[in-house]
Amino acid sequence: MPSIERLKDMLLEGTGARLLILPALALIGIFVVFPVIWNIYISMTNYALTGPRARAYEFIGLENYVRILRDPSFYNTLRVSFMFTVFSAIIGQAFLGLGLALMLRAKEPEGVLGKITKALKITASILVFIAWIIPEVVAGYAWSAITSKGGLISMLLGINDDVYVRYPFETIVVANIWRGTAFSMILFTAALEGIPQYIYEAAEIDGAGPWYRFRHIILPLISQAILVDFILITIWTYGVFTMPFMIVGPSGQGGVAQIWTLYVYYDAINVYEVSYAATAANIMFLIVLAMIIVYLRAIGYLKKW
Amino acid sequence: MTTVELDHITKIFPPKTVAVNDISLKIRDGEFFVLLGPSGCGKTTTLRIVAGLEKPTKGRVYIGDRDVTELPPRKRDVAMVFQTYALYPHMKVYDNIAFPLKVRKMPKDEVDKRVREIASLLGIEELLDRYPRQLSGGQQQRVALARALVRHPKVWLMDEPLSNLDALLRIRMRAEIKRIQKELKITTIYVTHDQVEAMSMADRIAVMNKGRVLQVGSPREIYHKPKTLFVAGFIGTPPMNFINVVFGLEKDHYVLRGKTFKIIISDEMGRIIEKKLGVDKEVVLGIRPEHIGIVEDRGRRENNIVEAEVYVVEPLGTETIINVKLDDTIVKVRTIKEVMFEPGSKIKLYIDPQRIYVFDPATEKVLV
Repeated sequence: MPSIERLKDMLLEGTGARLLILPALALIGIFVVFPVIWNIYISMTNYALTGPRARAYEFIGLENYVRILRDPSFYNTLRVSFMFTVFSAIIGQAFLGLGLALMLRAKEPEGVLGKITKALKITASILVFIAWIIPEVVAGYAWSAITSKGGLISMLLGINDDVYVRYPFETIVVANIWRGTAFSMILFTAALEGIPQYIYEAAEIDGAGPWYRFRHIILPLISQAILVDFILITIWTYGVFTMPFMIVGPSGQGGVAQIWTLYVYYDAINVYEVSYAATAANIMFLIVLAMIIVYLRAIGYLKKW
Repeated sequence: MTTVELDHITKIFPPKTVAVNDISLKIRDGEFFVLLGPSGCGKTTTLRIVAGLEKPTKGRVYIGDRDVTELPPRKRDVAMVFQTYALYPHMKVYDNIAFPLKVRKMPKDEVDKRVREIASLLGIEELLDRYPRQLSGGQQQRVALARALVRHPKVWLMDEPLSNLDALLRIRMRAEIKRIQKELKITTIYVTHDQVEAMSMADRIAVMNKGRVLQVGSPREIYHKPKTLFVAGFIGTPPMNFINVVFGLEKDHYVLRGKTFKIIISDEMGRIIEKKLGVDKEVVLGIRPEHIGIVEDRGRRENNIVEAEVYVVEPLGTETIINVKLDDTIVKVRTIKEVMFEPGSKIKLYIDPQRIYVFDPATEKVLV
């Protein structure tokens, strides 16, 4: 019988160790790798959700890809998705998150004013957090309620109509900013904490005002965190489905707010074209991949000091 | 003309930590002024108040004739060297040094000239193209000095700039900082807990403890005329010895009585103590290690010779520190002679009554 020591060696090194990661690999294979391959295969067939093509579908090569590249609604969805990501993730969440992180870090004045500031800071961060942690379905329902006719936002804006119908794109952008800002805020708060206090102080004594310090000290020092944030929120925003689905529906109010997840859903579920939807999903996957490669390159370039 | 004046400065960190307690100091133009004290004595806080990084709870700060109490650091025209150097990690050495000039929008060629000038003064020209993380501690330290000096500030503030360096480099940089300071004649406030550093560099020293300034004076004054037990015990290598004795009057002379020894002191000294305290009172006898003599033979001196037991001997090359047990106190004796004693052996010591200090144990203030 092998000793305990030998058993440990076997498990932690060599063949034994490799065997131990097999279950995890199998799960990833079944639930991640296989669907991707299956999706690629399906996109090259004429598989549909119902009807004869649901049972007897055929391999049609790249026909779906040719068709989608000639489809104006696909270009519409590309544009909407891009704008949605730029406005709600990069401009909205990242900028707002950075602003909030800077605000949370700012020194409070002494006395009563400081106490008020501190209370405001805590309140603000709690509110931002709540938006992040409540279930997506609840958030989606809440947003469709407050933006419908007679809802809070509609009333505040003085619009006697469903805001999500009149301004579907703007509504999902704002909703997504509201929901996702917490992550950027936390990430940037951590990045700012990582800059030692004395660096700020040195810059202050060296004569740098607030803007100069931000531009020449803080921004370069958190540039990596910014890129990491961009990568993550881009991926997540690109994959957002539930809230927009609940607010503007699969058609995105006649295409105006139809981001690609809605487009895929619409094609597969509303018009039963599963293979066509798979084609759209594959193309979007390539686009996200390309963006991430660009970001990662940028990180490598930044890391020089 | 740049003087720095602290006028009744108090700093309380909420809720109740009194870091600096009613300090008033006047630092002269071009002076190398050292704030000396143990850690937590408030010296760094005092420096930060001058820099503007902390706002005093009470009191005013003046630089030159200007009241700067309410001004942010960048408007005070001071430069600071941090204990941690605080170099900007994402900038090359050149840009680190140039930073204070670029902030002030100085023309590029002027910046270049100044940076190279200061770099050559500090001997770091070959480092200009490197990032801070590629430098050794000593090199980083020089870059920090260069950055502080490059714009010819009114006041130069240094917060234990040498404490992260190894012993040899520390001694070298000590001389170098002093040389540059004298050359540029910049009013300098230097914080340290190292009394050797303070003694060797300062024009004047302020000894601090528990948020208060105990004594201000030149290194010689601080060394020869300490006003309190604390100052006496903080200065000197090794610091002053303290022995609990009783002050009394015997026949026609005043004496300090230990358990196993007796020292006759001058009438003049005795009268002062008697006047201030009275006779048969407990006092603290202070004597510096270098002022205790080793008596090899009895010789002519009969008075003020005490017998002690050798505890341990520390040979240091040029000098020897002998630790002896006198009453229940370990007393350090410094001698330049190369002597060797066995631990446990008896040794005779001469205590020069002209060079002793007597302190009141209650107030810790010096009596004579």
